[in-house]
Amino acid sequence: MRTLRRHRPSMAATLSMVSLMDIFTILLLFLLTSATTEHQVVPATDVLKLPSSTSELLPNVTLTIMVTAQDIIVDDKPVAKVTAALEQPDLLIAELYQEMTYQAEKAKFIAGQTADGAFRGTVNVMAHKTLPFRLLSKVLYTSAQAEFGNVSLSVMQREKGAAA
Amino acid sequence: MPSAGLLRRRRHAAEHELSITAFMNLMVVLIPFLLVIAVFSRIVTLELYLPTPSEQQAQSQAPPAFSLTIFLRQDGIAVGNGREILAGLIKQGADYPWEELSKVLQRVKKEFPGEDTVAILAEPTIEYETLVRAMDVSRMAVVEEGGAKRSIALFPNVSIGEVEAAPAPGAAS
Repeated sequence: MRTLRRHRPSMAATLSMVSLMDIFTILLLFLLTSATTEHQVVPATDVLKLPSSTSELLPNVTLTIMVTAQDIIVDDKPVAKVTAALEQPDLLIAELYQEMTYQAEKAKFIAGQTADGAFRGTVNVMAHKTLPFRLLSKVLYTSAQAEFGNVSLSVMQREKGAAA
Repeated sequence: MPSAGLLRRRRHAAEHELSITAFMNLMVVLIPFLLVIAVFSRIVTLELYLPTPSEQQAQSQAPPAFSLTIFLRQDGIAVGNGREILAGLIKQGADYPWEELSKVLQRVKKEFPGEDTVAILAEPTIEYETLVRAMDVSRMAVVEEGGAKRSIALFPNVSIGEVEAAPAPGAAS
């Protein structure tokens, strides 16, 4: 009897892992699918908060103009200040235009080297949600003048039902 | 106290258990890793088409007879068809009347089912977020039919433009 009683605790120590394994397997599958569909890194800062939208179009990898609350950034390179761009009466932001024409030349050169490549002038615009429309129209006008006419506005995805 | 027979049966079952320790180790490493790299808010895009300088010169033909236009102003929204104002919606408090706008646009869509273009003209001081919201509302509407929600396309071709600050749309309608 004494030997039996000593055996019992070692038997009770085996955990039942089946339900935990179920959770882990489902979680793993979910995370794997969501990780593979991801394309773009969200720069979540206080100076760049994207508005939310019900759109379902995925962004394609192309030139990006970021308009934060302080700077206008083309491909990680700050080119102009937002305050200066807002104050000027002219629609064309000169510094941005210069950078965009350079980018257009570069893109056209690359398009010329590839077999089926054509310069389509696609650009992503990520803009801070509280910026006035005046600034956005200046940025869009400037980019269209530099032959970047296919503009995609980057926005955060939101549930469709919440938009009604 | 269990009998000797029961004990033997239990030990027999324990021998059949899989050794999942290695798999658990893998899971414990993999799941935090995937949780860290997972981004739950996805970035999507709204497509716009802007005329480039060479095309601006070519565009000199007469404007179309019907051109649906939404005016976004500081104090409200006006919907026009190119010649006259169809509806004026005054802002209630801080929020724009998006649901009323959606209803107006659904009515227009019923009247002109073939039309899929809309121009949104905003005042210079309108916030970007408001503009995106207006684009959302004019692209599609969520309607309830028999308890089930269904989204219908309204005017997916959205173009944007600027309009000078002007008197309230309520006065014009």
